[in-house]
Amino acid sequence: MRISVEVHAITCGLFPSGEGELDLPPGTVLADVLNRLDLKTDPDEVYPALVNGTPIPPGERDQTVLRDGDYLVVFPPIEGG
Amino acid sequence: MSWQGKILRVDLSTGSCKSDPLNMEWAAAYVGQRGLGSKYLIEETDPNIDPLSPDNRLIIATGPLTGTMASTGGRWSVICKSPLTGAIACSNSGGYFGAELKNAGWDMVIFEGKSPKPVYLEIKDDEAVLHDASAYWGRSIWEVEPALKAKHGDPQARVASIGRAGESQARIAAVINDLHRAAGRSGVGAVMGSKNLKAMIVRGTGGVSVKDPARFMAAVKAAKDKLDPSERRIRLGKFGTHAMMDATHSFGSLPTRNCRDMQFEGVKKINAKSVTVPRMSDGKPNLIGTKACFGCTIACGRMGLIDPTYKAVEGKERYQKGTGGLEYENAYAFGPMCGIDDLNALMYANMVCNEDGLDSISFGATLSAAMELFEIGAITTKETGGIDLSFGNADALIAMVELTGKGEGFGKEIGLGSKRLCEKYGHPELSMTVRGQEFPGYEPRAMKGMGLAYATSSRGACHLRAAPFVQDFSSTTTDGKAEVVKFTQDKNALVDSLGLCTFPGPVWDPADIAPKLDAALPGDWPVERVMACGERIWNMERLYNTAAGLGPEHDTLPDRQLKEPAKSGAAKGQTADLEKMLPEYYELRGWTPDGNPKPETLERLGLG
Repeated sequence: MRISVEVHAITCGLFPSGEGELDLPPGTVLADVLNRLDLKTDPDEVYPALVNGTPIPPGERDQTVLRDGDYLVVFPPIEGG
Repeated sequence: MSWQGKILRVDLSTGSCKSDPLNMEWAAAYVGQRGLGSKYLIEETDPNIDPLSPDNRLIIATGPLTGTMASTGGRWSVICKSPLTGAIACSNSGGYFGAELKNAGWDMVIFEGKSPKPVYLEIKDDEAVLHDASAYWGRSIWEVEPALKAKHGDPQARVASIGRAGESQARIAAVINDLHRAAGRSGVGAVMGSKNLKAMIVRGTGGVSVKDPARFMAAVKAAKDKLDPSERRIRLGKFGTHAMMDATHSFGSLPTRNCRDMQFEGVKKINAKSVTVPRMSDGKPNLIGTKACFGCTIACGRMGLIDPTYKAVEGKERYQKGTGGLEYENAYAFGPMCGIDDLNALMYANMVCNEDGLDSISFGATLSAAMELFEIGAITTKETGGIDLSFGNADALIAMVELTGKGEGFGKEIGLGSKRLCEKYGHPELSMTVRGQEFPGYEPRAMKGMGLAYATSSRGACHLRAAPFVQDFSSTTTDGKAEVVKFTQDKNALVDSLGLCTFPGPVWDPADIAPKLDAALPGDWPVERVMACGERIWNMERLYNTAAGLGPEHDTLPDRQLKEPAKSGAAKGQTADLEKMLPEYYELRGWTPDGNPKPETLERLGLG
């Protein structure tokens, strides 16, 4: 299956341009994909992640099974303005 | 030490300047800057004074770590009763002015009364004197700051001043320092204008001493080493706060067209990436560099250069050099909130806000309210002087920022702020405000914690009084939001009282902050004590606002957030759910179910 990925973190090793597609075996969960993105940071930091526009809390990411055509958006921990 | 132990008192009515010892008992309980400045305001004024009368104080306050080697230790605040909200105002700025004031030997400057003619204050270490400012009244910040440095022959001096917006007492006027940094929120520039105080120029050469220099530097290094490798720090340094726009748009929490929408179709034309793309006219991108405030190891500040061929700046040399911005909040307020995707128009509006001294958030959000009033016919071109205030009209943004900056035409109406404008034209429900202060760039229907933070903020809608960002971007439910809002309100009240910046966020927890205070200040400063200071300051502000008539009944949001479901994004179909969070929040605070601090809470905090 294939998913689209948009990453707004500057330290993403897999998608330096910030976007692309991934071929994944069936049954892949969100936590697996986030690990593959190679987001180098403090392990305590949480990267918000949306699957088809729905935010997935950190505690649900290893049970969230991705499906063909899913659209994943990841952005970095950031605050202020 | 760390505190300088001195306050400069300036009586503008008589023209006198004198030194007072800092109240060390208060300093031990309220620390500095936001907390200590607010304590002085509360002790010296009635909460029901007219904010624009000579009875108000204008307090310029540093924190104990302002001007030290602590990373981000360049913060300072302007404290007064707000002419925008009627609540307590504490507007925080960076740059170099605060550190210069501290190095001149002063913890605070307290202005009282009103000068019979325009004046500015010169501080050179221990010496302070008021000068005639008649020659500078009516001139912009960008004219006055270099003119004062030239007059005093000191390019190293630091200046904070008001522009024409502050002079005309626009209730959304800011105090601007170092040309591009703003104590922006709550209309503090109007209070400065009401006192006929045009500017402050400061030179300080004395330094800031700490109790245990070796231990202080070790604590500073430990915190800096923790901050440096974090994605948060790296990203803020590379893209600035502007990076937030992609996040809020993706999430569906980007206030758009006066909060009717929560995602903006033109986002890619004005986001952080857009400012890095070379343009057709001169092959240069908008973003030309970054800048840091005093002592900062983040450097989130942006330096931008507008397209020199853009219609609003052609032939105007002062706009054709590097200047501050864009940051997220001004880009949000001029852009999505007004439905405008013209990057150069946003950049121009930001420059005029700095040049004339306007709060960019309140200006943009008030203009967006005017645009909705225009759309429904509550105001027409008859009121606007012929300007078409349709959403998306960049020419309207250009025209209105110029008029508001100068306090002319329909700009006087924008200068009232969104609440007064919408009330005047019969539609108070269109004002996206809490306690009369305009929303920053986060929509409460999608970010439930931020909604609670707005509703309970001591200075009206604000994104810096609490920091529920991580939790809000993880879930659109209300679960756990009251707890994180309460904790970060107390923590930010502490950080705002130290002279540090809130942007390190959760990378620095209280255990990273307390050792710096413990090494810098007399006495012991364990984590429990510093967090108690934050909670004490929060409760003190609450008591002031309640006495000023802005108590728990104002812990709410506009009907749009409470009743109209979100049209799109992660929270599609949801409202702000404030009623689910307030009872838990009050309980966590030790307040009664109707939102007042219980006697035992006040007793515990030393406020009884």
